[in-house]
Amino acid sequence: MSFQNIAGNGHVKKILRLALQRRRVPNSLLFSGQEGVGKKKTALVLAKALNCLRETDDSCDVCDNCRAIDNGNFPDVIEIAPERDVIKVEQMPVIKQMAYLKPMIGRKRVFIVDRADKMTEESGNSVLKVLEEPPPFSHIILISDNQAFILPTIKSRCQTLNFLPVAKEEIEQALRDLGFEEEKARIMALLVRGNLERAKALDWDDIQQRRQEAWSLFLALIGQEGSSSFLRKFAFQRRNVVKEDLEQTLEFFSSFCRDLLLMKEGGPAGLLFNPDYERLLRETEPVLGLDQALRWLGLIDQAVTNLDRNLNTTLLISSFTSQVLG
Amino acid sequence: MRFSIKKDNILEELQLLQGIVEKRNTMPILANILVQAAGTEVELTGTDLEVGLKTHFEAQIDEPGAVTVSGKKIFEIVKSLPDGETVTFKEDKNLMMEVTAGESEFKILCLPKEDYPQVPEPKFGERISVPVDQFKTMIERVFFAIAQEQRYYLNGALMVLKNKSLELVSTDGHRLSYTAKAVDDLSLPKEIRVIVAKKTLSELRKYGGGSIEFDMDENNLFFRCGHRTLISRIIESKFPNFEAVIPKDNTNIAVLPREAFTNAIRRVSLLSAERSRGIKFTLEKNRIRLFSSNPEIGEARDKMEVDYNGAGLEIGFNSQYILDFLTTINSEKIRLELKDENSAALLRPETEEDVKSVYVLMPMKI
Repeated sequence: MSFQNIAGNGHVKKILRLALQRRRVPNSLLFSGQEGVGKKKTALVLAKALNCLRETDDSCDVCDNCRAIDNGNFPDVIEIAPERDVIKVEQMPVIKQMAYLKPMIGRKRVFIVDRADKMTEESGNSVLKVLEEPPPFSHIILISDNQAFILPTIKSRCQTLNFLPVAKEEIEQALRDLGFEEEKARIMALLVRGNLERAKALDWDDIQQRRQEAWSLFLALIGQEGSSSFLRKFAFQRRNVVKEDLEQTLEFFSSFCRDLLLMKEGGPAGLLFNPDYERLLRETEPVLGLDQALRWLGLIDQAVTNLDRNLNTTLLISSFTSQVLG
Repeated sequence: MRFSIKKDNILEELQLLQGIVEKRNTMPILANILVQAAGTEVELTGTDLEVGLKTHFEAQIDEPGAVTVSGKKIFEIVKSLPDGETVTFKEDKNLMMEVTAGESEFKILCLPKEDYPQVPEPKFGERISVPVDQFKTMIERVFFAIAQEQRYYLNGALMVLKNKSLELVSTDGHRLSYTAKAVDDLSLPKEIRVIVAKKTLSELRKYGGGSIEFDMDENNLFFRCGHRTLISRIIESKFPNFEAVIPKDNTNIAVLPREAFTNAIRRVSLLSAERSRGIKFTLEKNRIRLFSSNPEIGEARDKMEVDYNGAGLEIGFNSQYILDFLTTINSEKIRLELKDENSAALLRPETEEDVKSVYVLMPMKI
């Protein structure tokens, strides 16, 4: 894995490669961005590039150092991850002490703290000193998909690189490279909202089935007669049980509405998110008016945002249903 | 790989290695030691992120090879065998090491040697060497004053190598211990100043016999002692300017018999405050009085005849800090050099020994 194998986030890769060429890679870094956009991969490639025996601004993946880092057998690259969902203060001495020791076989010591937002306040405070002024041969990379939970005192000591969700086109490309047909790749890329890792883990048959289910729920909502099926499915469950499913169902709803809008405005069929549902969509087209479809789209979007904000799902679903029906 | 060796010839090496291998779980393979058999010798390597040890010895080698195996387990196995037994180590390509001795048989899972990090190789070009015994004496004299704290640069002793002399210095901010030794055949193009980690020093203390050779590269220090080579990562930092700390104009000088003084301090410290261990010393002409008190327990007094002609002084010290120094030196008498009750005191043996010692101690208010 080298920089060019990481999909998306061209701006981050460019910054890092330039820094590598100029030998001015910041010693304290914070990689921030949603899950599945390649933060950890980028950190590992950076660690390899800093120690690579052949390349200066990328990893070659064939030299001894790159291979050892890939296998987790490189003593100068140390990864720290939460144990039972917290990074405890007891895990910190590795950074605090080892950062000041010259590297053993590589050029640089690299510490990668995965899910740094899981550091306790105590853990965070104990590494402030070393983050503030790491020795020139030590790099500390904090990785987080929830920057809000990182202490401001830590944030201010790090150079932050913001990772953006991977563009749909790049995910599509990655999926096509994995052997998915174009149409499937397009549908799947849409579902994962920039999370490349999730895209790769998706199972097409599973997706088909879920979309089918979402379609029936959608029809029920439009038809208004069996609207309680949506409520029943989601409203009275525990949040952590339904969250993922609900999120995806809403995504599907959103794609159906969007396709309906496209049809109403006479857009080309090639732009459809659900080309395989074209016929079914045409059948329902008369039921949902243009204004209504637009309103739904807004409501769905709002529901997704609220779901991210940890709102009570029962209330969220009830209010969503009453609004779309009202 | 297959080789045999007497238990007693390998046990000590395994014991040293098992003290070195990684205890934290940062990199599982570092809990292993690398066993390499080739020619007539077996080489064992163990390392954590800070210090590594390479040792080799003769053995009867039937089949050369290399593999890594848990340092702790192999030590425990060999240790548990009867003394004098010949132990056979065997590993085929299946990553399972068989250890047999007498009627006992063990099989331990191994990891391939390719996964083991490469431990840097020294060259020993400069030929810098010091007798082990004296080096160990020097380590003893600075070891106790090494700090165990946030300031990483104090978590080791400074080693200064110059023409014809070797110095070690340690400090924890309250006291500073300095020791030096003349090394006649030492000639260096440039003075070397490096901080040697506490763990490295504590490992070196375990070695005996012969002399210690020293070498360094950009990242590592190497100490070779007979068939063992210790590899220590350099602590990158600036050590405090210790020369400036050693007082030059302490004119009030007392000369005390070391043993009697040590015993007096021990007695009085029994009733000193538990945390500070503070004792008050009152110096008058030819006399020193010791006093400690602890409001919860009581108080203790002692006095001694000493050789003192300076001004009358009342000064407090942490008794443990003084004892640390008094118990590591051998001279019959010591000099206590003071300026006033607020300035650093200097202690040193009255007669210069082969290994020179100076101890600087900050006073405390009591």
